[in-house]
Amino acid sequence: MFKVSRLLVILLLLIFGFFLVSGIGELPLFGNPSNPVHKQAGNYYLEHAEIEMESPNVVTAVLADYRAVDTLLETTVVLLAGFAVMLVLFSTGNISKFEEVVNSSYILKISTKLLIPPVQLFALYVLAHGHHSPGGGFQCGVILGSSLILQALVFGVKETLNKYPPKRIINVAIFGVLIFYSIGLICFIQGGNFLDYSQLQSILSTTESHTRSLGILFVEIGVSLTVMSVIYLMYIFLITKGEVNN
Amino acid sequence: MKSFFKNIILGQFNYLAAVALILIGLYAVTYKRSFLKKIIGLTIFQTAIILFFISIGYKVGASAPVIPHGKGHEFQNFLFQNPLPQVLMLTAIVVGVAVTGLALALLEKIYDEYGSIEENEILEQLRKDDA
Repeated sequence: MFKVSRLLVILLLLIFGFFLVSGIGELPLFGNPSNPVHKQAGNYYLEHAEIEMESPNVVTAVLADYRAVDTLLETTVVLLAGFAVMLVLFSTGNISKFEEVVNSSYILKISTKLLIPPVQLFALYVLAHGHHSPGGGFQCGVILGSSLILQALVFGVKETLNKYPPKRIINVAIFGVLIFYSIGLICFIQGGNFLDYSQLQSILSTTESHTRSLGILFVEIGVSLTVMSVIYLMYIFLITKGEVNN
Repeated sequence: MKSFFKNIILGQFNYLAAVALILIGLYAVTYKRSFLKKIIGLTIFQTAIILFFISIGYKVGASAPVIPHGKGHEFQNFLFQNPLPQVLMLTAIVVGVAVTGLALALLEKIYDEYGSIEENEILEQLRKDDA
């Protein structure tokens, strides 16, 4: 085996960087509103998102309606990554072998108990207000997951595992993806395209734009459940090296 | 030379920063011995791509793509950022988190197997096993 010298690597990278920089000179000017990028789909989304789905936050509308299939497979990828982490780290070891030292003081425990409900409430706010302000399913899932990880950090992994057993949390993750797929299928059965929320109109009996808005909300609930459980499971499996059996 | 300075260094500064981050990430992935540092390099590389996409969607003087509704608000396209790159990068960030978690899980297994996460030490052990 030959030893690659640092100078050679840096030289090759600089040559690569030179080509990239020379490409930059050909790009349109940074931040110019009349750039070609802004004349295509982005403009359509900005003009129609609020009318078609009552969602002033255009990012949410594009994420969960115009490009819903992208988000659907994205959520599936997150679920599969969670499964892969579990499969890689799976061991038949017992949690009682797992040694941990919980040094949390009384003040820390009490303040964490006080802190967790507002954190989870804020997550639900981010989810429900995702149509009108920055937010949505992924962000809600990350905040919910961090509230679970905070409990594991302060009260210890064993106690958290008793409260939220991984077997149950896996079911929550699958349930989240299932919500997404089943809403798509309901639209399909009603006679429209897959994930065309306007087909839910006969079930929800409101205006078409409001139906789409509600469809976005349902889908994002599924996304947030999946992201929350996958983040929690990844943390638990990485910290215990898979010894989570009771 | 003057136009180069004006157009690229000042006008396209964000793209230059993205290229710098790409090079730093590639350097870490290719040269660093520790697998943990390689994973950090991958994350830096991903950050470069996110910076590049967000810069493409940027319009000078525009605000976030949350359109105020109600009376007294006039809608004009150049007042709001392009939402498409932001959506794409939102999904990219989430996939990045999933990939990083999986990489760390594999790293944990490698450490269990070889007792090290340094590339050269692992290669030495593999060669000893072959001999």
